[in-house]
This record gives sequence, structure tokens and C-alpha cells, in this order.
Amino acid sequence: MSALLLWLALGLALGAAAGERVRGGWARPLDLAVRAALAGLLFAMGAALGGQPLPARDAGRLALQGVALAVATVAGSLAAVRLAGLLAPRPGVPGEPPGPGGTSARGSGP
Amino acid sequence: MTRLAVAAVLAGWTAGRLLGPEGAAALGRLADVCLPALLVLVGAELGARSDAWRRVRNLGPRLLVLPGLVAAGSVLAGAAAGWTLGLEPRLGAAAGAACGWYSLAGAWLARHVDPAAGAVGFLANFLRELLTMVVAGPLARRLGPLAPVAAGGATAMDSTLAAIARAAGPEAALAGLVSGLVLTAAAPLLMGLLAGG
Repeated sequence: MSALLLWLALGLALGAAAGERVRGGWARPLDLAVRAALAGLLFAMGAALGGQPLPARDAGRLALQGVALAVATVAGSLAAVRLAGLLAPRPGVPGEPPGPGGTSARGSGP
Repeated sequence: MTRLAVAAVLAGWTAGRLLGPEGAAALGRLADVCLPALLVLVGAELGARSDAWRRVRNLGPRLLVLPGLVAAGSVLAGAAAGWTLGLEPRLGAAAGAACGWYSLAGAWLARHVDPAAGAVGFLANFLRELLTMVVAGPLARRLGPLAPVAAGGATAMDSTLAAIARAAGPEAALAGLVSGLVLTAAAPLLMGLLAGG
């Protein structure tokens, strides 16, 4: 099993145990810690990339792959949402049974 | 957060260029500490959202349909695009599985594959977030309120939530919050399953 998942599971357990404190007094320090960890992670990634300078052509290829993957993954998810529109509960009334005439019970009005 | 991310990558890249391969490798080991720390911290934030989890539980398995389809569409499209672009399809799929979580995708692929794969994973997911912020309005108008939620992927619970709420209304924002929550919890698992590690 992925080590990533184990770290996330540890965090989930800690967050669930701390509950109110995470949403209350710890919210600001936690937010700062997330930003610090994110900055450190991206700095390390940038350093790894900068330490192995790429020819301009390779850099262009990586950029093209990144852009194409971004567009493709958004398009893939959008294609999926067309299915989700048929299968998933409507936003705002999730799981609500249809009212008389096939309309939402909440939206049917007097 | 976007400015912080760009600044951190550029600062790291500059430091890596100045220090050369050995110094850059030493700096790169910072990720060994920061990635687990980030996952624990994000997990703690998610775990404390008992109200959102209660909503997920109350809605039952039907609610998993939306994030499940968003993840499946992203992974399949990532694999197909990777294959088309000459990347290994599993790397494209792993980049797609991050569903917009660029720090995870970039650091994880850089660590387990190579820095170039990390750069592609970072860029793909970073641009996905930016793209969602830019096109949320037109997507909601043309494809319905769930479209920006799908485009945002895991980021729908935080960084693109405001754009989704503005473009598609508070009800879509609620769907985005829950979908993003599920996708954020699922992304590390999916990336691990698709590309090992």
C-alpha cells in the first residue's frame, strides 16, 4: 500500500481526534504549516529540476506535455460529468427523493 | 497560494542551477520531509471537517459517483494523452490521478520517477487549477453547474471553490466541497496504485 496513503491516514486520524481544536485555535498555525510544507516541497522540486539543466528543446517538450495533460485531464473529467449529470444526485438536493410529478420535493413549492 | 507555489519553484530552480547537481540533490532531499509533513497536515485539516464527512456518510454511496467519474475521466484522459505525447501511459495516468493536487503530483513523480516527470506532473495539475479558475463561468453556463466541479477535481474543496461558487452557485460549491474532499483523500492512493511507490 502506498506510503502516501499511510501519511494521509495518520493526518486524518489526528484531525478527527483533535476535531474542534483544528477548526478553532489551531487553524491559523495549521494553515501556516501547510504553506511552509508546500513551499518546501515545491522548492525541493524546483531545485531537483534546476540541478539537471535541460536543453531548451527538452524544456519546450516538457511544457507542451504539461499543457496537453492539463487540457486532457480537464476534458476527461468534463466528459465524465456528462455521465455524472445522468447518474449523480443534483447539487443542492443530493439524495432527495423526487416529489409528485417527478420534481424535487424541496423545489415543488406550494 | 498560487504566487507562493510559483515563487517556491522558481527559487528552488535558481538554487539548483547555482549549486549544481550535487547541491541540488541535497536540496531535493527536503522533499523527503516536506511531502509526508504536507500529507499529515492536509489529512488533519480533512479529518477535522466532521460536518463534511457527516454529509458524505449521510448521502451514501451515490455521492461517490461524481468524484469517482471525475477521477476515472482524469486518469483515462491522462493515460491517453501520455501515450499520444510519448510519455509512459501510467505516468500520464498518475499525473491525471492527482486531480489538480500539483504539489503532490510534482513531488511524488520527481521522487519516484525523475525530475522531468515531476515537472510535467506539476505543470499539468497547476495548469488544471488555473484553467478551472479561468473557465469556470463558461463551463457552468454551457455544460451545467457540475462542470466546474469536475474540472477543479481535488481543488474544488479549496483553491477553486470560490470560482465554482461564483460561477455555478452555492449548491454546486457544496457538491465541489464534498467531491474535492473525496478526491483529495483518494489521490495518494490512486497515484500509488497507478505508478507504484
